[in-house]
Amino acid sequence: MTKAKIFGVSRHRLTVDGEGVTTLVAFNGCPLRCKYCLNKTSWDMDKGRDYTPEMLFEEVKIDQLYFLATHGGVTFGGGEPLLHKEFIKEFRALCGPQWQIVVETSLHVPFETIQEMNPFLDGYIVDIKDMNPEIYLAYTGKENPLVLKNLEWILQHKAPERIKVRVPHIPEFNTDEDVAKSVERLKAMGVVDIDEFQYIIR
Amino acid sequence: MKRGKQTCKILKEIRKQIAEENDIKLVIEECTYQGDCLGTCPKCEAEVRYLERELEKRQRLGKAAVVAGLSVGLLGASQMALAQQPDTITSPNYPERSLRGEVPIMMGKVAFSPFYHFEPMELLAKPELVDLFSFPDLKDLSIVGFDLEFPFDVTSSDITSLTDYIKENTKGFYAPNYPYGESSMLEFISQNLGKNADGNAYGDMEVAFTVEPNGKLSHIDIIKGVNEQLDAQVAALFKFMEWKPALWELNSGEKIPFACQCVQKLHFPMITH
Repeated sequence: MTKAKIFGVSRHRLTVDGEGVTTLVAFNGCPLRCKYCLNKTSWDMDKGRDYTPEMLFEEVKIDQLYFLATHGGVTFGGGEPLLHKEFIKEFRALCGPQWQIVVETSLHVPFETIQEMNPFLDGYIVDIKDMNPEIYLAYTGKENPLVLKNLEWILQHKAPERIKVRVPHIPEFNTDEDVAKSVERLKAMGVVDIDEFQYIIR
Repeated sequence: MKRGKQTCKILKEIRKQIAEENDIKLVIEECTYQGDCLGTCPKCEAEVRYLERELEKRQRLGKAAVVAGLSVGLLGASQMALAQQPDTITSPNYPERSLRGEVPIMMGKVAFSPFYHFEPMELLAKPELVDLFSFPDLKDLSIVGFDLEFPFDVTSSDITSLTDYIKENTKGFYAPNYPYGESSMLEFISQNLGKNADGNAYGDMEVAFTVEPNGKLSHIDIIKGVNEQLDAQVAALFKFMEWKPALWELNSGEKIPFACQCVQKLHFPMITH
């Protein structure tokens, strides 16, 4: 039986994690170690509650009417949701094709995972951090060529309007000029939905 | 209007559209609750369940149930209105997203900061905080989590500053409890199960529930059952109980009730005094 640790289920998010009314499901486990990570709980694979796809489906289907009426559904985040590919595939089998399944991902997962998962997903919200490899390495502790390869591939295999790329202004790590360069490069790759925003450190 | 209220308004509008489109009579009363809400409440949820039942009825009668995509336009317009609410920060150059409202709370709760969900161990692991907790070692009651509301926005990465804040401002924490004592609660259950109860039922039951700040019990769930009939009867009885909520006492003496998730063990056959 497929199980995963989930540390949060947040209902009624209105268009912030994809189209329509969505429920955000946050998985534990992440390959990155971002300096300003919002959910450091996700780094700990032992925290959170064990769910099977069936348990999660039973819990979130309470909002099915809203999902259907607004073309919403479930957004898997975390952590890195694509580390839980079997779980998401089984969940898709339970919820059927009418719910929108979106992943909030860093794309820092094996290329084969992206190829395998793409048919099960309606959209991506990609947290690209910064396109500059040095900035990416400094901020996340990991390198980004894999991310760029994966992004290039999904741009060829999913409608561009289904791929939102988030580009943060990261205090102490990138400048407005760096962000502008990232945006320019993303546009050149064919990204049409770019969400540029500011990390606010409190 | 706060974000929760706005969410509630949008969801209500979606329900209204579904009802109208499917000729379902739905009387939506104006909500009179003055404080901020989490976007939904038992009354709102009951309306959703009612709509589901009515749509099922229509389908059984061979009528079409129209739901898919019905409110797509509505949400776009409403979301624009929501984006203009004062608690959304905007900048002339690019949209800013503060860290507020980004913390998913455990176990299916809708979360908007400044709430933060704690598992007791999270705080009790801090030696300097242990003395602040008066969560008595009740024989059969476990506290598995609670939500504190802070007078500022929080994120999961704020745990150090949250615990510092608690240490500096707190006199103590007090567990929720049944106001007349645990034995009275057992008696209440035992008496009200009455003649319909399965007298031969034998085993341990575990009931999970949340004691809300107003003392009402919600999210009642039999996580370990004895038999289907008894489980349903006990769950129904928990809905009638009112507890004293968990309290957070500040140095100023002010006591703030907070939502506390508990698990109560019950043993059958039930022995009461």
